[in-house]
Amino acid sequence: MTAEPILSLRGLSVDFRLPEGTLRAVDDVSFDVRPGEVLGIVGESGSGKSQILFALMGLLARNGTASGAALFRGRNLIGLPAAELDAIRGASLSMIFQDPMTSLNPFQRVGDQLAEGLIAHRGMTRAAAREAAVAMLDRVRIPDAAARARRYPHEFSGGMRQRVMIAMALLARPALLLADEPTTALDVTIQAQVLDLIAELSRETGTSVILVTHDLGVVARLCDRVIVLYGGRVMEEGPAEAVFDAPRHPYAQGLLAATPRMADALTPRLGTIPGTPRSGGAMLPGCPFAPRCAVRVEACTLARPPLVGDGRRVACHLAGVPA
Amino acid sequence: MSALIEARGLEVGYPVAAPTLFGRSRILPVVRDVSLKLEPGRTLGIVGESGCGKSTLGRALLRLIEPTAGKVLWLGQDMAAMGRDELRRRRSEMQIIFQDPVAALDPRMTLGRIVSRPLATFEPGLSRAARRDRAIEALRLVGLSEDFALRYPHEISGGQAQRVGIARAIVGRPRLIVCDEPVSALDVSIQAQVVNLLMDLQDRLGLALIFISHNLAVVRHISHDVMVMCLGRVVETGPRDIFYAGPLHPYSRALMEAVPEPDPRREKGRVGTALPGELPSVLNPPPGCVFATRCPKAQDRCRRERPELRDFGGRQAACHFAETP
Repeated sequence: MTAEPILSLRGLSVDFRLPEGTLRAVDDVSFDVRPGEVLGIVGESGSGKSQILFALMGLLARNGTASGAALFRGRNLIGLPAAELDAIRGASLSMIFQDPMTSLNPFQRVGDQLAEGLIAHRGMTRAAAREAAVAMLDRVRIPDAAARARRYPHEFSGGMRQRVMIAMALLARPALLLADEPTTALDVTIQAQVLDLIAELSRETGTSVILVTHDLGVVARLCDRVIVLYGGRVMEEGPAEAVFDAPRHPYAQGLLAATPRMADALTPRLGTIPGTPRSGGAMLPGCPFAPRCAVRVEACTLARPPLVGDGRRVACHLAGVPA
Repeated sequence: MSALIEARGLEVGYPVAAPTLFGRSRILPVVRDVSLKLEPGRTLGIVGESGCGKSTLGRALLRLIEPTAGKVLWLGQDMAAMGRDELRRRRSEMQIIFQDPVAALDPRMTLGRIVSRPLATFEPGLSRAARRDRAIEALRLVGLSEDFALRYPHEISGGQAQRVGIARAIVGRPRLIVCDEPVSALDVSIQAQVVNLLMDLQDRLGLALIFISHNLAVVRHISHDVMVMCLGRVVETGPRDIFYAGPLHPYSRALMEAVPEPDPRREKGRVGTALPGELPSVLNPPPGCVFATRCPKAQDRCRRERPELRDFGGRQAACHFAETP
């Protein structure tokens, strides 16, 4: 794990201008992604997890601005002119979404849509691009790929559309794949297929992946490292095994206790975190989780705890104190 | 104990458009031959993937959709034979809550009015003040303070909206609540709060619950009995503990193995084990076993002949090759 990071976020923040003032959705987030690594970002609604990906792709809503730095192979993506960003997006940086129809054109044959990127970014001939598209559809296990390539997106099932979108994202052989809740809308057996596919392709091509999800199980299956986000800030970060075995931030502990596992003995009631996830509102001077935290002390509402540690990082004033 | 609600050979179909202009429209059965029994104070979990018919079954049990065949008995009485007035009276005893808690609330009404509304139908004799008191009592039972009665749906979070949906369901003092994916749209920390609330209310009010979900881990937590559906049919049913200890039907096992658990050591070993293939279309189910097209153990017989539900000491499974463990 000593290879140069492919992506380095340094103090990334995302602000939205709203009629009632500025809302900070992502607040001073820093992390690295190494080549071939699968990083999971887990959080509840309003945690800012998807906005991190949108900021990287230059896809923030019009009233949103990103600040800080996101160095992708040494170039800062934040504030990059659209033309330069275009050369990176679709070539070495790709994104997949929860709803595949976000990236599929309903009026164009699937094969043509896949070929388009190859023609634009790699200067391939139409015939060669089509051939590569069919090969990739076959690769993501679309049955009868050559015939399917001539069909339209609505003729595919939800799971197949998701695989078509993955095929499209991977055709360019990106160095980094951003995946925003890619399996949330799928049934569990189809979700398992899609997760297997992402794992396999990442392993074979060395593509790094940032996977954003609310599902701790999905993180456990796919990710090498995990970041737990709350209120736009990193609460805890570390190797997936270490964080799941012994979470140190009270929020990470609460999330795990609230998720039932079939392998565990039954308990009379699930663990809960009181209150509701932060949604907008003024920035708190202290820890964003303090209002819901069962073990908070005065310092938690006064000062923001710094993210400390090496490899395994925690942002909690009490993290050193055994609970 | 005798059953609160019982279904016998229930079948529900939806009309589908004719394939050609002068062709005949036909009834597409989405729930086929389902029988179940639920006693007061118990929870039946119904699991399955999209299109398995679990939500349609939940609605048909309450006669929100008319079954095309079979019977539903409420306290032993055939619901189809009940007149309008009797059915209306019984309706207060059976309620439903939905997946999208915000969409289920009228945005123009205060939460107090939303919660007290069923009383206007079910207990028309109540005074306004009495209705208000009952609404506040219901809000308190779901953990919301009195001042929520004056707020509007857009002023509350999704988790709070689901609590309001539950308050509206319990205000008429029902004996059964059908919960249709009640936590699927909620954040993890809120899911746990709502599941715990339903279990608390069951203890306090003696409610029976039908808990419809695609989430096997949540169903295990809340249910006494479990039923697995696939393409409209029951493939396995039994008491919670023995079901989860070792499901008999290969489809139940496949579902259980597909659920990712928050345990990286266990999950990393499961990568690459996903079951291939897609669920067959509801429009065109296979002639034999509903799972035969994807089942790793399928034989010729499975593709030809549909297995009936068979008894295996206290539980049932519909598989030619299921064996008593």
